[in-house]
Amino acid sequence: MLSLIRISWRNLWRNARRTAITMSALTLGVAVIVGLDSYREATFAQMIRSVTQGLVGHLQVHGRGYQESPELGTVVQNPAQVEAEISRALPGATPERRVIGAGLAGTGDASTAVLVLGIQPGRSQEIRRIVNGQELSEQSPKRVVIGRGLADELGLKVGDELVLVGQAVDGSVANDKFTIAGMAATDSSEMDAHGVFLKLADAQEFFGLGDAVHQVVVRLPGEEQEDLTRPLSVLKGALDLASLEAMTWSQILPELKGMVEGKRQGQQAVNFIVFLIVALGVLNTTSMAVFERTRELGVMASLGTRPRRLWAMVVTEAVLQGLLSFALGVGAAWLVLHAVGTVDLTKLSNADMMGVRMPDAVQLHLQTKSVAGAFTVALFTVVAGSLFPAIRASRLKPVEAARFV
Amino acid sequence: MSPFPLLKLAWRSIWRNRRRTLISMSAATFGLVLVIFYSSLMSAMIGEAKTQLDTTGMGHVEISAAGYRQKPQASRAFQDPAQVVQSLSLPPGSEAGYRVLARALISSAHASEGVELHGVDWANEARLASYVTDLRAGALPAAGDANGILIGEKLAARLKVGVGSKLRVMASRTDGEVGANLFRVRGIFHSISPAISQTRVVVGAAAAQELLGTPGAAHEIVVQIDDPSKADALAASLGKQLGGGYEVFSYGQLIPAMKSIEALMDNALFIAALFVYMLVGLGVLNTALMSVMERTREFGVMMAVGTRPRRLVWQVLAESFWIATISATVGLALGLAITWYGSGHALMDFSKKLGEGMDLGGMTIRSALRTAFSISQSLKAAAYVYAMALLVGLYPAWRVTRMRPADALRRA
Repeated sequence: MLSLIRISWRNLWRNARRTAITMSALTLGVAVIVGLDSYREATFAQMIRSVTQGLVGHLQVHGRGYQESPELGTVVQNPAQVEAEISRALPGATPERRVIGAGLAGTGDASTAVLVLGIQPGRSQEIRRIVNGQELSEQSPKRVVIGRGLADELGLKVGDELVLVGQAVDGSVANDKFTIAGMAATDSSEMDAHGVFLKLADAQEFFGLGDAVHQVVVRLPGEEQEDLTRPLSVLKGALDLASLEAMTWSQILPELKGMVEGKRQGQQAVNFIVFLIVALGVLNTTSMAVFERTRELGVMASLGTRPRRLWAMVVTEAVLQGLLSFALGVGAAWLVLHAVGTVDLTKLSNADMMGVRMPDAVQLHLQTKSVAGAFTVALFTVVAGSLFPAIRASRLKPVEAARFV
Repeated sequence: MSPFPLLKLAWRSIWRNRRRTLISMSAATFGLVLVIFYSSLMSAMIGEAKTQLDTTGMGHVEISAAGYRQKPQASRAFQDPAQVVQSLSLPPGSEAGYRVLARALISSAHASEGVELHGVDWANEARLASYVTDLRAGALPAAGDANGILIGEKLAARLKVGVGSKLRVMASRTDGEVGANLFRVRGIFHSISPAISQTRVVVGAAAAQELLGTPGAAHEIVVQIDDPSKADALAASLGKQLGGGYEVFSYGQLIPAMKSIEALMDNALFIAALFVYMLVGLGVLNTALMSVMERTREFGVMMAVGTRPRRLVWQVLAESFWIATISATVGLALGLAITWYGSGHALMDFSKKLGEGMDLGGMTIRSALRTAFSISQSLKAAAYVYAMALLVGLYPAWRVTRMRPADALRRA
């Protein structure tokens, strides 16, 4: 085995220029795929992070049927008990209660329809950033934080009064006055323009919900969790599914999940064609390398080298080229990614994609997933490209081949 | 000597190793097809979002009372909208209409949602916004219908209502009070935009004016034109015509994301294409170099019997010419065929995963992706591949000039 590798290695450098050209194509292919894929995966990771750490969370528990049709009256009746069940089923998970409703918010002369969110200020740091004024606090009652776009639209300042009108759960008109404590920037333009944040208790009182909430948002320890099948089934096992439903962020935002998957498929299609082009190059050079050594291979066969060993030698040459190019390609991609560092997407940051704000900036890293993917494809490429010439090498008739000039 | 026998000789040479030539040509062809396909997919996505503004009901040019965009309040309205529309000097083929706008709270017996209320002239709106006529249940309200409302499928599901259901709409009036009126669902429309399906409701202009307390006034005029590239110029001329009481924006100003997304796609495309061209170049270079090297002896003989090195150089270049010409032509033909077919059939359909359309920064992009058939764009890509293949032919040709007849002859 070792001697096979040594011989193949030497063979490669008998025509160093050719090997170098083939390898540069392979290296370029690997670098492009790893680089683009890492960039894409980093963007996805950031979007998924903003979803899971932000409004949506990893998992959510609702009253049964809420996702389908979010009625004010479809609630989680005993949030304390549900939280206890969540903590028992998923150790380390942090639950957060939310009330969600619609209303009309305004001052004396103008008002607009808003999304009212009752939140637990201590537990939901990530869903918004206070840009002006203060965070809600347990001590001061009847305070609100509003989206900065809403503040602009209605011409509101910190300390102003905000009148909120809506429909309570029993169908009566809900009506109350609040003082604006602060303004917030969020990860969604919809929330920026129409978001009103209340303390959970204030929102429950406003909508007449008692102790009930609409969502219990669950955040799991460890950020990079895309596959939540197991935690979901554990959670489902712990809950009373007759009155509750549990789902993952990807079930709540199926379009976002679909977009991530769609783009991954698109990437795979491009990868495939890039490597097809590279594989054709490998095929070409390996065929050449076999052809010009016809005599030599014939002599080897005459001296008793097994066809299988000739075959293995040719494939090993290709695999060695593949491995070396893979290492060089990953290295090149790493260099480029770190040289670029952070990609600024602020020009795009006003664009919501499927209701989720595109990240402002993406920090580039080599993604293990992308490297692993490129490795598989690179190896497949060199083997596919060398298989045919290798078979030809093993089928050479010793006598004819040795006579070949 | 005429170049013709040279080309003929080169033609014969490249087919002496048929497999190698075919392989290296197909690498270049694949690369070219990839670039043509990819670029036509990108331009179709943006192009459709640009020209088909009636999927969202947006205008290429939008007019409102001065200051409305900054603070969209019911009171920032203008009078006699129909007359203003009439007075606009628009290019032939344009569609224009006015709307009364409000951000409103809509409630059924089950739930409340914040929505964008459009008060419209039904006959006009049907031309400006395609979803208005794409009804999945019910019918378009009659012209004088004072409490008929159209809502989207998603909103209907969230409010748990159907045709005939009662809805209460609340919005801020010009006098600062909250206006509330009851409406009856006349129809449920379908839109490929999830946002529109969930947050847009349409009523008659008069009904909206009554709700907001703005009799005879409207908030917006939308103008859709045949040639989107003229939008900026039209916005400027309409701005001049209407004077200071109005603000006029082109869609490029209203959706700034459109331009940046377009630029981003152009960059991504440029980088991808660059790499593909480089890969193609390396592939062609390798084969061309090999074919020269393995003929070292042959070239040695030719030189020994008196062929000028210059002629050998021309021959090698002629071989590259053939490979470049054939792969660029075949790639171009394939690329054109695929993108032509793809402009009529959705070759990449993500609608199962994404729903029919995706909202992206104010645009709606269909998820069943088609390609834009563009001869000039494809020709450009082909020209790059052609240039690349010719360019890399220079190196092997240069190697030939460095051969010495005696040495070359001695090489086996």
